[in-house]
Amino acid sequence: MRLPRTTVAQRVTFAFVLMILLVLIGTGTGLLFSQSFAESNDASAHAFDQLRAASRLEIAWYQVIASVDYMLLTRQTNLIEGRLGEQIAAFNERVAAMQAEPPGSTPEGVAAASASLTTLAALVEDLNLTITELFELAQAANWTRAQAHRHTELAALQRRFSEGLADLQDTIEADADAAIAEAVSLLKRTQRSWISVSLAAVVVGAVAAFIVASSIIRPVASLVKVAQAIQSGDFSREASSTGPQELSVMAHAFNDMTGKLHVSIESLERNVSELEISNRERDRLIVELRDALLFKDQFLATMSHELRTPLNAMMGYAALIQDEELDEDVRYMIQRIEGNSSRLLNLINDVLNIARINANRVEILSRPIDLTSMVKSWHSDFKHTADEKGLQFDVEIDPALPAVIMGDEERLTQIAANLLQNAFKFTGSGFVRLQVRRQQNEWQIIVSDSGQGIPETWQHLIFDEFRQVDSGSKRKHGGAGLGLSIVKKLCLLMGGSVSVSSKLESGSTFTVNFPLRTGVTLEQSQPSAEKAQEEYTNVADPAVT
Amino acid sequence: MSRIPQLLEGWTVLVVDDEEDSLDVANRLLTKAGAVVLAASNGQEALSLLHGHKPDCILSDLSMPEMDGWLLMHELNTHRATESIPVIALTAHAMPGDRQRAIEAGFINYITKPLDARKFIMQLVAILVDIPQTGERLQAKVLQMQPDTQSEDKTEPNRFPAPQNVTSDDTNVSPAANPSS
Repeated sequence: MRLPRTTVAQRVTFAFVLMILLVLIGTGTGLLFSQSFAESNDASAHAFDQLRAASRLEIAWYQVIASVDYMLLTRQTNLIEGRLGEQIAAFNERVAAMQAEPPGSTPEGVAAASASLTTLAALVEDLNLTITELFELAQAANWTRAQAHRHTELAALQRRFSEGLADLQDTIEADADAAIAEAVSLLKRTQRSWISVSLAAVVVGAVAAFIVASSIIRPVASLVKVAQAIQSGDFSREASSTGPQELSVMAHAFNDMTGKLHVSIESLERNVSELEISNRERDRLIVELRDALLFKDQFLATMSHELRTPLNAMMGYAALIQDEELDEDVRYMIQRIEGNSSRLLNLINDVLNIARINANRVEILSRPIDLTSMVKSWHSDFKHTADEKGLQFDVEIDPALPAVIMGDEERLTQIAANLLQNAFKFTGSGFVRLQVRRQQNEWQIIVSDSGQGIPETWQHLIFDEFRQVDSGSKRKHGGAGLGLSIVKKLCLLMGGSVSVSSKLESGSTFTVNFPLRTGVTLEQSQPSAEKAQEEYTNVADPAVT
Repeated sequence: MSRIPQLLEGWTVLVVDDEEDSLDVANRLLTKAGAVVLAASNGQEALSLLHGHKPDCILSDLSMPEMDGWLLMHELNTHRATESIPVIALTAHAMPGDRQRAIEAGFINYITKPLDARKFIMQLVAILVDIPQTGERLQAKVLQMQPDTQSEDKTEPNRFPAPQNVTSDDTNVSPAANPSS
């Protein structure tokens, strides 16, 4: 498990604490230095004390000697009597005192000093003895002997003292020198170490500060550089995630954001280029579609013409032949030829019509129509069919209808003709009735017959393409079953509707509704070119399929 | 023998059509109606025929090779000899724009193709009756027509029906028994 990174606070605290420690170390070393300085002072002071003690000892001795000399000089004993004893005692004390704390800082020194002191201590007894002897002599007024004693015994003691003292002093001095020398060297060492520690502290401090600071600054600087790079569009760089925890977290978050931003931008760019591609694709498809529609139009137009032309030639000749004198049989056959040709023509017309309607290439006109004349033409078109089948054929025009209505005469005729054709086709006896009625702001064409009717289940199907009520009737009646689908689609294109009401064996009634648009009178409405253009309605209804 | 009334007796008619059968049927129908027929398969031929003859009217298809109906019309208009001859277009196109275009070019009217053999002559007559140059000449003939040719005959379904008041919009031609077009 990885250790968590240290935070900025931790690092700064660490640096701070380190600084303090270094200062303390420096101070500590300084204290050591001053301490050793004090110690060397102490050593000097101590040596000085000891020399002074030694010199006091000397003074104490010479006071004794001086007293003796004074006594000998004055030849009086009473002046120094007490004093002599005191002085000797004083000298003794001094020796004892020095023995109690022997000078010397080294064991050898102490040993040497103690030895000297012991010698000097031993002197005291001899001194007591000698002084007592002298004093006795003095008291006996034996000054000459006393003097001689002084110059021999005391002098010997004097020499022994001097030597001993000299040794002591030498020892003290040597020892003091050594101690002082040592103290000085210690001082020097301490001073050196203080300096070097301080320098080291400075260096360590500087390095540590540098490291900590840079460990904070570097990630920040890196972040800044990367941010600038991103600003100028370069997404390739990553902020370094070294350094303290917060900065590492920030760098990770930043890199993460950058990554996401980059991905977003790339995805957007891809979307844009995909969009461009799909736009180009769409444009290409539009062009293709246009071309296809153009082709379809041309195809329909060409087929229209190409299919009808030979048929019409056939029908033309058939009609011409029938104008000649013919054998009954031959006439019949020619009639059959003509009949079949026209059947074929109907089929072709139906198919092409449906194709045109489905391709939304049918244009509905809105021109003034003489209603009466149009309906009359419908009647006349089917009169002979009615007569042939022995059916009654009635036509009614609602007087409430205007004389002139707006519409597409050709298409309305198509619708009426299809309905009438069906009516006559499926009616064996009885009647076919054509009514044109007004219903408020609509008008209707109603074709009813007394024919075989249409079963309910079929009534919504018959308007589908290629449907006829039963396939048996296909043989009997012919046709491709397109008539009613053409009627329905044309109605829809003209804004109308068609419906059927029928019962088996009771006949059928087909009703088409159209919105009623009245026109002006026929004379006024002989259209000029511009007016014709305005009234021309181009309908391409995607709803018609 | 012929059931077509001889309304065009004494007439000379020039027919121009690049479709052989269509030309032939028109020719025969016009001949049955009493006319003398000049037939040409394109504008160029028509013009050369016009050098030697002056027809009473001209029927011309619009789209033909060599010289089409439009060019022919233009040519006819530019020559004194021919500019007054009534020209009728034979065309499959029946949209108002086309009609207007034809009239502006100089055609007096048009008959839609494909021709309905049963109605063709009457359509032609109906057009000719309306214009001054030819109208009077025809009126008499039309009025001469026997009554039974003017009414619809139940027993002779092939009878050509009497001329109705046909406007220039009457172009939806289809055989009587075959209403869908």
